Amino acid sequence: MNTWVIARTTFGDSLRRRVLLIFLLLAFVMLTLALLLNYFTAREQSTIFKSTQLVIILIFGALISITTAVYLVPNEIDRRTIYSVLAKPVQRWEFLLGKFLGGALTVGFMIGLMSLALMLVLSILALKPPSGAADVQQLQEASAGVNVKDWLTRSSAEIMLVIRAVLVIYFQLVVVTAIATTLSLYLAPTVNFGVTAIIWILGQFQDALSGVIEDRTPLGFAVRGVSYVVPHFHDFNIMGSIIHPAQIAKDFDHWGYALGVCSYGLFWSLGVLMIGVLVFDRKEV
Amino acid sequence: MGVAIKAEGLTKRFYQRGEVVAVDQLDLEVMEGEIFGFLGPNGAGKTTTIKMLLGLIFPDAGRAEVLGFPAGAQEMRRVVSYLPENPYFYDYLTGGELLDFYGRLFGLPSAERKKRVDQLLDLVGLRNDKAKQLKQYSKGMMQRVGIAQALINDPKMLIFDEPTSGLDPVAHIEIRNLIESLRDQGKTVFLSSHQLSDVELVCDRICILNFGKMVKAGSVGELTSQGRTEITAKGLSSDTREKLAKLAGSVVEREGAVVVTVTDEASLNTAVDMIRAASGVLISAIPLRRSLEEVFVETIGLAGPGRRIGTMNTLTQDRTA
Ligand SMILES: Nc1ncnc2c1ncn2[C@@H]1O[C@H](COP(=O)(O)OP(=O)(O)O)[C@@H](O)[C@H]1O
Ligand SMILES: [Mg+2]
Repeated sequence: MNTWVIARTTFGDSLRRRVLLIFLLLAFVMLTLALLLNYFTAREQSTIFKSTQLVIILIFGALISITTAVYLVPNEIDRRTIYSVLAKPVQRWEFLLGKFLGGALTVGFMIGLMSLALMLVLSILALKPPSGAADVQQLQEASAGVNVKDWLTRSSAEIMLVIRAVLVIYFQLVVVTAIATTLSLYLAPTVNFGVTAIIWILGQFQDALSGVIEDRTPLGFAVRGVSYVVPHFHDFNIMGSIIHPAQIAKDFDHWGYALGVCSYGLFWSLGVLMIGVLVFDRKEV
Repeated sequence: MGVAIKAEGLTKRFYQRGEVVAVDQLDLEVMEGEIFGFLGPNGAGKTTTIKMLLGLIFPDAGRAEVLGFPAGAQEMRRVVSYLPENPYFYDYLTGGELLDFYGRLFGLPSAERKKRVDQLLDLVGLRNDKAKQLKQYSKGMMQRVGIAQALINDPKMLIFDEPTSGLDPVAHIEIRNLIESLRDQGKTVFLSSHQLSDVELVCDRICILNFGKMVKAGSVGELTSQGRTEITAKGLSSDTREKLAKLAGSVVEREGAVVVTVTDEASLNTAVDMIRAASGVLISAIPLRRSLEEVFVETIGLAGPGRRIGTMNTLTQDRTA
């Protein structure tokens, strides 16, 4: 209960942060640019367009979640707002979880806005039949006499795809938020920003890192060690299945996979937060 | 009357450019229903002690109980409230929202919360600023909203850390009155301050802290009394005056009367007997008091020659700020 009260207040605070709004704005600019580029160049590559958009959402989402999370607890301590809260009958785990949840809500809200924009664009693009309609002229004709039922089917498929992809991105960012929140109990925000960003990037290439399996040098071992420790964000990368739908088995359970990856992220986050709670329980404020 | 705070051997060290013993083997006993003044110069260890009582930081040695609960226990925080030094709250909230937030943390139901928030804003004179963001509050308003948040749970005990620092004299008086009215409602108030005039007027008992050690404790009356009494009398023969001078060391003539100062009760009695035996007129016998400020300066000054320099340091720079 207290967790939720704190999460809500934290969410309200984060939304007022100017940096986040700037990131959001930048993300929209990038999304629009990608849209325009796509529109004027490759017509048949809407899959590439989609994955570019998702990568933009992922990168800005990561920026937003790290920037939010590294300040969640340190700001409370610096501004001394934490004293009056922890002097109330609030458990320390409730506080930490509340801050984290507030951060996760913020990230969810931000990438929610971005994906809404993406869904809107995709459903507009779905006005155009998937193949054949080659130029603008035809597109306009097509949209004039558009078959509403066809359009609905196509656009809802696109929307479901975006939801699935963004859900997976979101849970990846939840892990990032949890890591940054826990590290913020030890590290100053700027240092924490770098460290979490590196963990996130390493996580992207986790499979490549673990791939140096033959390498028996100390460096090889070290790299493999890192690959075990960092979250397996590579598994979150379902863009491949969007770009190359043909290479995926027909009976591949997309939603099952997505939800599996999400629960992997959830467990990772809970584990990291548990460490955070243990540390925070004895932290002097 | 029960014990509200009991601390034994409470000790806290900080390591920052060397070791600082912020609180050093502190024993403390505060009774229920009293206003207890916790005094000391900046850096004496007042805030550190309070933070240990609330479980915000943890002692290196010793133990403390508040209202029968271990310091910092969740049950304790239900019935105790805290006004931090130079309080700062979520400044993007309005005064009303802030109090509502704290009310939620106590699990107050919505209707009760609404009522209490309005009551408290009335009490601290912020009714018209309910919808204003804390960003726009002045220092005095921030302190008031801080007091309001401390009352949201109708606590049994209040811990105020420097509640009047930086406020104007009128606000001092208001806060003093409020603290007294809290005591009248049967609440215990633990008041940390270096503002002696406030403390002198409201506190039942005080303790003076310096370098983390308690250097003096007692009721305000005990601490300020000197055990000396000034006797004024008239119509005495020079013979009697001489006797009095012998007893008290010296006599002074003031506006046609004789004034002698005795230092203990026995000589007080003897002097009065002498005056009456000589058929003199006893005008007054007044116990002399020092101000709390004098006691304070004297006590802090007596902390030892080597530490005096330290006192000056901590007076000029509050290292926690
Ligand atoms: N977090 C901290 N880290 C290092 N030193 C501290 C910390 N908090 C307090 N101190 C030191 O402990 C001493 C007591 O400080 P404090 O309790 O704030 O005094 P007061 O409240 O009486 O002014 C001071 O010397 C201060 O510098
Ligand atoms: Mg202090």
